Amino acid sequence: MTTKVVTQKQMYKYFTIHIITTIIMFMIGIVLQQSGYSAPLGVLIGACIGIVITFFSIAFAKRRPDAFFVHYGADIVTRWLHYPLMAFIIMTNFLLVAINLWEIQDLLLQFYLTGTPSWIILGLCGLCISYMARYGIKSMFRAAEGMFYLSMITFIIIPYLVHSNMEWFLARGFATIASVKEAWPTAYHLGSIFGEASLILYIYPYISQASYTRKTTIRFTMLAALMVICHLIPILIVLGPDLAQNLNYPELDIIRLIKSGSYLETLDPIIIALWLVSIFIKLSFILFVISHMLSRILKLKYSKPLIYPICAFIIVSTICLAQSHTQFFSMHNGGVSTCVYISQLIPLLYYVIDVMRNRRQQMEEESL
Amino acid sequence: MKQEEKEKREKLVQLEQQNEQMQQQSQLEQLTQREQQDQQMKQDAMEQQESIASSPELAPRLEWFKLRLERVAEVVFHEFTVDYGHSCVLIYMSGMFDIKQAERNLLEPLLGKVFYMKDELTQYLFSRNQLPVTELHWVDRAADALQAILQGYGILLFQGEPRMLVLPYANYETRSIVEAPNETVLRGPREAFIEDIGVNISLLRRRIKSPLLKTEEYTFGRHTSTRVVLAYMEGICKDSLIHEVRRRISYLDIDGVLSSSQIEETITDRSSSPFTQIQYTERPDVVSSSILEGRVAILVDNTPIALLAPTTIFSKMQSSEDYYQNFVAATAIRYIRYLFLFISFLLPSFYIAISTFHAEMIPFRLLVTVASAREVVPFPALLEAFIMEISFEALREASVRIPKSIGQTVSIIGALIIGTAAVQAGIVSAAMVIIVSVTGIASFIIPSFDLGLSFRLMRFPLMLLAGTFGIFGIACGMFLIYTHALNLESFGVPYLTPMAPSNRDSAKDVWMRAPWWRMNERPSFAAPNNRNRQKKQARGWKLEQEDLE
Repeated sequence: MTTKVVTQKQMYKYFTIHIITTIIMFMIGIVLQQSGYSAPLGVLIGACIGIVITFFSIAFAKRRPDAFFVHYGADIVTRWLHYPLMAFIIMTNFLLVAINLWEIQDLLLQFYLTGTPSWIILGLCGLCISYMARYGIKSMFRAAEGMFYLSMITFIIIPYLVHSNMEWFLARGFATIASVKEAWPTAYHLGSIFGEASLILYIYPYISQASYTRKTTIRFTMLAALMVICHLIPILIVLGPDLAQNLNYPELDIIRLIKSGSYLETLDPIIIALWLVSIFIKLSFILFVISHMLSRILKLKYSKPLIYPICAFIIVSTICLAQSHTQFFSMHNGGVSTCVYISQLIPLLYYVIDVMRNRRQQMEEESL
Repeated sequence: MKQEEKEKREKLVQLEQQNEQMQQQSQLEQLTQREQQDQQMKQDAMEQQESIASSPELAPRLEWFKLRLERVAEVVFHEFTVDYGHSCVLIYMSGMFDIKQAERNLLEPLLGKVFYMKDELTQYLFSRNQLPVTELHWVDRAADALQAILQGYGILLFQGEPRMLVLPYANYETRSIVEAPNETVLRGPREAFIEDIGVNISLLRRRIKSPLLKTEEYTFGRHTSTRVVLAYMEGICKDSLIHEVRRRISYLDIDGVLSSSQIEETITDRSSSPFTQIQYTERPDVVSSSILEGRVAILVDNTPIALLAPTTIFSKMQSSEDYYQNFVAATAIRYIRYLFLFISFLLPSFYIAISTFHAEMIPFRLLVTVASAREVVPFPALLEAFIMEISFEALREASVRIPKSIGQTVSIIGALIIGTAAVQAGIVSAAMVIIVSVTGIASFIIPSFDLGLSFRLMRFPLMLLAGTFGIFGIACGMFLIYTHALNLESFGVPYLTPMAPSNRDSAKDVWMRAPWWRMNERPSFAAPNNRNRQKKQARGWKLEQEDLE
């Protein structure tokens, strides 16, 4: 019997941080490029997609609440299909960590640690995330719980602090230009990130009061969507869609507009540092899920010994992932989201097969 | 030919050496065998003698005690005869036993009477209401009697009586109760624990006059036989916690327990962590309030420090003064303490990071001032900070060790003269002196010495990270420390409770010092069925008054 160590409150706080950190730090530039004024609408649609995907996962997890999907999946679709599918999910999560790590090192190398070898930065990031992942599931959720209010303050305070720079006439664009067609690329892109909450399936036996998971999912998805919109709107009103589209990290430029009196010229290194901590928590969780799945597939008793080797492998892959920002963007736009969607929807296949099997069994029993 | 001879000689030397080694080994083996045999014989003899010591005959028993206490200078064997002809021996350790009391309460009445029969004597001594001694008891086993003698009691032996009377007149010099030297307060009680465990328990009992205050006594240390007491409130403290403490200390088997830190390190959850997971205090009021919260206190004889478990990082940030002051002031001071905790931990690293990597953060005028001050300094900020911090730590350590009469002089020389000279010589910048001084002052604000020490130690790797990666390095360092602290537990209670995992009830006494009339419940680590501390309407009189008005 697995100990129910993750509370609903912790889940709510963790997944809010999980979703918003990556979007606000790294995705806003892409989102504005794709949708401009329609981006907030895209965020809302993306959140709805995320909720639907997560709901499927929860519905499937509920059928065997005390067992791990990696274990019982083989009973549903046979071992020969189960293991390649699991390998695909592992690889996708692996790619997610690598992409995020690449983005971190790119941001730091561009603005703060120019000239530092990327492998050193990645090594330090890897040490942080693997150190947390080694402590197990409790660690990430507790960390998010402790960091939640501080993270939220840093996320909420930015739109407020830049309000003096807002060009309010640009706000008309939300009413006149926004369209669902324009919003769709953002929705598709962000839907995969909101859908990352479907990782709940892999940790479902650890969740206490699991019957409230759906309600919690709606709450954290809505809060995360609201937070993202609260950042998108000021960026569009302050920088305008054209300038914002051409910046790699428009959020960073917004932060640089903040003047905290005559004490500090800019707050961006501090805020970025705090956000990095949030991203580390997220990456630790994904790393934990990967090692957990892999250890179950390899029939190992503990997942702990796998964490450092997996992390080392991810770091090496990150170094080789892309040589420039352009190369990274072309790779990122070339189907990563689709890959993530597939990995998130694989459990749906299991769900359908499981339901069909059960029905057939019931029918057979009835006929007997 | 010569080579052959050489080889032969070498072989001969080798053979001789081997022979010598063999001989030495066999001699050693023989010696150890003999020693073992001797020890075995001694043990057998001791066992035989112990059986003799339990016999009613006085002479063999006395021999047994003399054999055991051979070459112990302070032992006294006072042999005397009670009328008519009943031989007795009083054995005690001089300096640990109050012989005057024994004379007044036992020897004088005993020698002033005449006992015609042996039964009369035993009746007189062993019936509780005959002698003017309240805690009179006796032992049957000679080993127990010996232990009693070593603890400062007197033992009275009689001819023809196997029972041995224990005289509870242990009396040795102890320090009197003085003001707590390391945890001073302005408004609260001044008393501190001393080295005598009996006095320390009485200090607790004076505050908690309840039969539910349990004090379980254990003895540890094969040679020291140190008394260790577990104190807790029955019904308030969780049974599982008491069992866990008992279970952990039961593993302690050591030759001597000389301080509470030995027990602390043995029973702590993770001893390799820089954060100590057991709280210690020298104040009986702190121990009493902790016990009333549902915690367990461990008192060790010969140590004026009590251990408290479980503990969290936040309970180490609370001072007993907080609970004696107005809650508004106490809350404000608590926030200042949290602020200075971060300053003591992060300020030097932050300065290094900003001056090395993020100069754009500093306003222009300040940047010019800092840069002009650093212009003459030949070292990078990291090295400069390391030099200053290590010097400061050395000064602090020296001030603890130096005799008090010259301590002040040294600290003035260290802080003022060397600091000023270093700045004037251009070895360090004035800004760095300010940073290090503020950090030093900030570290004194942390109420728990061991928590302050933990942060002081972790400051150095953080400075290194700041000097290498700037604020990003600090973030990574903080993340690693946070992760570590997050996963620490003190007897099953997470170290960062009530922040992570969050606990609203316990947070009342963490983020602010709630007024006493609002602290209705005990912290979460108390027994769940007994968390009510007081009636919910402690200030009901005010509502009543408002209704009347």
